[in-house]
Amino acid sequence: MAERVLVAMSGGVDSSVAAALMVEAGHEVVGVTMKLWGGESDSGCCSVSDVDDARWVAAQLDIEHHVFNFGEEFLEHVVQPFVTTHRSGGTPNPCIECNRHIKFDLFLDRARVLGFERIVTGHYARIVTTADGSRRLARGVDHAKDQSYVLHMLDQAALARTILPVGEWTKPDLRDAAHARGLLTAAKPDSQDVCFITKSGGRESFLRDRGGLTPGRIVDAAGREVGTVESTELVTIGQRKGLNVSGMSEPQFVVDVDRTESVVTIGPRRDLRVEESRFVDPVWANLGHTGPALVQASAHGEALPAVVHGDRVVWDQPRDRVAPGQSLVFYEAAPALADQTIIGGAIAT
Amino acid sequence: MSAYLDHAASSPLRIEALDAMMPWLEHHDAHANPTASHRRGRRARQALDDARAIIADSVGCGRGDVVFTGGGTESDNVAVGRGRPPGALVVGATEHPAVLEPAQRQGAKVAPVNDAGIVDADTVEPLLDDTTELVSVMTVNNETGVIQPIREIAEVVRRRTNALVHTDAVQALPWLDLAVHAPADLLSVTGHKLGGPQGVGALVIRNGSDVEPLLVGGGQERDRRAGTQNVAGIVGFAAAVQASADDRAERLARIDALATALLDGVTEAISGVERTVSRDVRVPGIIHLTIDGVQSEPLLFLLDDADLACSAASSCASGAQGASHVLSAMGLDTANCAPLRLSLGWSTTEAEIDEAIQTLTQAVTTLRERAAVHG
Repeated sequence: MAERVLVAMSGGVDSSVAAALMVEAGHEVVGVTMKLWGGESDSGCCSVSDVDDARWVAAQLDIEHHVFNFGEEFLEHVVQPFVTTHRSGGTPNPCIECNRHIKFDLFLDRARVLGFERIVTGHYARIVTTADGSRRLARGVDHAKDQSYVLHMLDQAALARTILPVGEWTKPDLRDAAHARGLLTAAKPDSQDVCFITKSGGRESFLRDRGGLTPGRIVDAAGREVGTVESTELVTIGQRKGLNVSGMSEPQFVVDVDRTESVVTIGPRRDLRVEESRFVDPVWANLGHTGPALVQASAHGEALPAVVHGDRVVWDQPRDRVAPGQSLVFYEAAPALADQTIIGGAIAT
Repeated sequence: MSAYLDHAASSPLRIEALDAMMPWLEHHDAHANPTASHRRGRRARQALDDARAIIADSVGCGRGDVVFTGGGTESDNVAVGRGRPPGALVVGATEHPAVLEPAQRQGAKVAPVNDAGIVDADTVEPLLDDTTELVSVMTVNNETGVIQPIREIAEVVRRRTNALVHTDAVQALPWLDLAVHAPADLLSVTGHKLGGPQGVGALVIRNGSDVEPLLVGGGQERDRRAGTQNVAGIVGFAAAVQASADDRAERLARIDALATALLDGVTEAISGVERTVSRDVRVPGIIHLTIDGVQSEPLLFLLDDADLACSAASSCASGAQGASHVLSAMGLDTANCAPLRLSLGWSTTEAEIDEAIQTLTQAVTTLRERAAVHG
């Protein structure tokens, strides 16, 4: 049945094809580019040239195109928390916060206010219906491109009002489809990393410009000073490279970051191993969950078997510590990746 | 049905302008470079001089004072200049970005506005000293339609300094007699706010004032703006200015009545509508409102859906809505309301006004209902 849908068009090839597929399916389609970041950027979702790309593709598809300015909200809900989390010694995932607060909150609500039935994005994930009639987010068909991890916060209301057509496609097929349709973005390179961090400056200059960076001491498990770091904000749990400590008998990893004292503790791999991880702020696809699950702790990490109890994940096998600020995403345990659907997610502490 | 209430952004081409331009576009035997010495060239140059005379009459200057440019932004940029020492420029807080941005890059002093958006001559005076080179205050604000006291400001500047006075009169040209209202040394105007073609304007340089050209190499416009002139565009610009001067009294009365009907209709049908500035300090064609309890972007989206063209604050290069520096300079908090500019012009009809009232009422009602459902 034809619906009135609002397509989030970043100016990239994925959302361009998503819009094309919606038009071909006979929906009444309007394209929107969200203006999120006014500062320096390599490309991401924010620059005028990306807005132009989205506008040109919309013209090719003969649909209307609008720009929504969510710059203030992006600053408040994505950029500032990114800085705050780094300052407190955590490792934030700004793409998740952008999906949580901007795309699947503000944008979704804006669509409702403007009288659109559903929103459409170019994410590699699928929405499936379970036996009890509730909806779940499932991994995209292209497992290498799967973005279900960063969309884990979609609840029943959001899932009911979202279409993810690209989840059924592999990236090579999608590029072919873009070329076949002559879309201007068909050969555009994939966007990389965080849209508001430039390649040249990196996280380092971004954080330095927003409150400075703090040097710190590196100590071993016994508390002996073995080196120094220029900026404790840039150190991540599990990090091995760039520590510049010598004379150790085995490879050393960051096992803890104490931002109050500006102390980075390192140790051998075994010091990183944990039996369980704790979390806060869980969000659930439907009802809450207690019991076995496959738990993924980073965007491209492997989902490992564990048991979820209250605010803890108990790993079946000890694993490396999860950096605070990263999301733990709980998938329904299933042997095939394609059958793994999201039960919920939370922030590791 | 549709309504176009965005004349302050750009006004449709007047018939008089189109008629004047057509021969220069259509007839091969009329075409020439106006600097050429042959008869076709001389005719094209004559057309420029005729146009120059019309512009000169409309602003009250000598025809040698008129320099044709590529529009208001170019005229403003040239007037503001480049590489001035910090503090040498004094500009109003609500200037158009074409003045404000180059001024801020040169460390300009900014004259504040009062809550009605007016730059008072008394607030300009303390910013002036021996190092002041140029004072720039717009004649009419593009967002609110407020008329600035340029005559008083110019008097203060001339009494206290040798600085030049520039005024961006782009929004004033359709409504005011600039010979009376804008006694500035430098004055920017453009054609497309009153029915001329886009991309053609002029910088008026009175009293042989010293202005550094932006484009050099060719000697056109007495070495003040190099490059082959846009003959058809300039002819159309002048024709629109002439037509606008000819029908000013009748047009102003008609637009004032339509604007009043629009304001009355909107305030009657929708609660929480505030006029940003009062009628006695603005030009008749620009109405600025704030509407409580709705957001600007969704409002413009729904108005566009119903084919009512108007503006909120200023549009960024990307097409996104940006916050208004004009409203914030006036101390107006727009966090919980939608600013809206409805601007009328030569082609505005009563039917458009009726349509606009209906569309706006419908959109605001819808948005308030949907906000209530969610909240």
